[in-house]
Amino acid sequence: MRAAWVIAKNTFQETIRDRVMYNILFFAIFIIAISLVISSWSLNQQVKLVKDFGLAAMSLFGLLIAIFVGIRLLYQDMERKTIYMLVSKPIRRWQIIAGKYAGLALTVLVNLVVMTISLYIVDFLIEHQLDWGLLAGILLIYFEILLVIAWAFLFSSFTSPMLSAVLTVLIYVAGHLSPALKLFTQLHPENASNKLLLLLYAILPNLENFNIKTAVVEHLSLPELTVPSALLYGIAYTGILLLLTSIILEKRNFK
Amino acid sequence: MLQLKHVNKFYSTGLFPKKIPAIQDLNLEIRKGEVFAFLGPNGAGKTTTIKLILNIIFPDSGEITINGISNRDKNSRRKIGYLPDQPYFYDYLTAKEYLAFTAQLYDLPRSVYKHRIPEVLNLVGLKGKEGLQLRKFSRGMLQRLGLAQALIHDPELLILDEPMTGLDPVGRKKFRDIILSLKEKGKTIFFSSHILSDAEIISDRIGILNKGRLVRQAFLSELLDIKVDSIEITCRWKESIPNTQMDTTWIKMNHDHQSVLITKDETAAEEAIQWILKNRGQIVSVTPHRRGLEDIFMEELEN
Repeated sequence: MRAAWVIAKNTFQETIRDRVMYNILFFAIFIIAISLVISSWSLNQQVKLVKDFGLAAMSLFGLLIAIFVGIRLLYQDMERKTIYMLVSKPIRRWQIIAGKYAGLALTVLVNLVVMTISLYIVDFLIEHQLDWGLLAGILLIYFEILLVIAWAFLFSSFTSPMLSAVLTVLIYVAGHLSPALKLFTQLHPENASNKLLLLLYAILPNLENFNIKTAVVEHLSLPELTVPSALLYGIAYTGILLLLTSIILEKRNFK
Repeated sequence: MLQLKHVNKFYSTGLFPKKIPAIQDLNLEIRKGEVFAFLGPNGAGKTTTIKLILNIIFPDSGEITINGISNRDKNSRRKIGYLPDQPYFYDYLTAKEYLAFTAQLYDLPRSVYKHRIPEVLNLVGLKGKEGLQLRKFSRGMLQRLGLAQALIHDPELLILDEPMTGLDPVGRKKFRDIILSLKEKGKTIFFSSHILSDAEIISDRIGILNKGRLVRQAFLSELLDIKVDSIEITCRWKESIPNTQMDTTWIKMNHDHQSVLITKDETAAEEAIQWILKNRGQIVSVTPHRRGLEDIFMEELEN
């Protein structure tokens, strides 16, 4: 595992020096800060608006990091042939995937921490107190981003960055709509294509599992196991995607 | 040390994939401590072979072993240092950071690579450049850094793909000296090149690859010893150049009190020397002209 850790550190160094990521991060902080102004136009909803805005910004900009940094990370290594310098070392290819993924996960974590601090500063200016309940929502946003990054890795292991980006966005959208597939089969049990829809539901990620933003902002009570089961789901799903990516890379001839 | 047995590699191209052979039935054995030059024109399959050895691409059939271990096993690459044909480095890192990164991938402890980094940088002539980001390095500097990273873990086997490309004459000389010093230390070196003069100076054995096939494999000494093209004899006369009969096959050049004779083989050279001595001449030099590696290389490709 030492090789994976070495690659993770290097990837963290690479992504933390990436200008694209800084642009995304600064824009996210700007959006969170500007919510302070926008929320002042609302009546009695100022606090809710700031939190909604902040969490939505984290989700969106996390997705952008997954797309712009995550996809480039693996593809660039293959395109610029820096991957030669890794695969020719006494390491396994899955360690490259694990290391790169862990490095980017760490970068996203640092970004989310910066965004969280920004959100809490804005929140404190309005509420004069800190709403620690938001942290559960942010944790699940992090796991959602991790899952989307795993998809981005999978796509970039066999296709171009442009196509990988399109497919990752499609997965993100489909992942938020996938619960509707299950609901449809429950509402129309006689439908002939139900099996196909349920199969699709099983394959697509259910990203709504990670969406507890409304509940944490409005302080609604959630079923007890909502957060742990979402975390477990995220870990298992991400693990499978990384395994698939590793298998593809294990068999790949680098031209 | 390194063995390739019946290795075949095909590429598929086009909409309806057609298999194009890149490497065909390649058998090669590199012995411990030797310097092996892998020669061939562009597109012969040299880089493909190196990529196959290092598990960057996989053969369609055949077997590759390093120290008896299959190259699919990561441990087989533990004692290998690899310099690619193009510098493929993370350019956001400094030279020191890159070497530390490489050392850690070889599992070297910090206490070891801390001392090893300045050592290899010094060896390749990059002392004082450790803090410079690689994006600011010239092509030649990157090539030298490539060698430094290949040497960081003091490997037994060095695989160098076109190591002289991109180097100026001084850099090439330095590079050759480093390879020769590594050879003295007993390292095994396998390098590909199309610069034949360099191969002639540093290698023990050569292999010529053409269109994916190994067309010749020989010790350089054997190859060059056998092929004596002509022998040049220079002599000086005490008085005037003698008028006695000389074999007409000896090409003769006279100037002042000096003559240059060129004979086609050793027997003729012996006769010429006897003739010079008999006519009270003084031998200044006897130089055998061997066919160079370039001539042999061209001949093999034409065949």
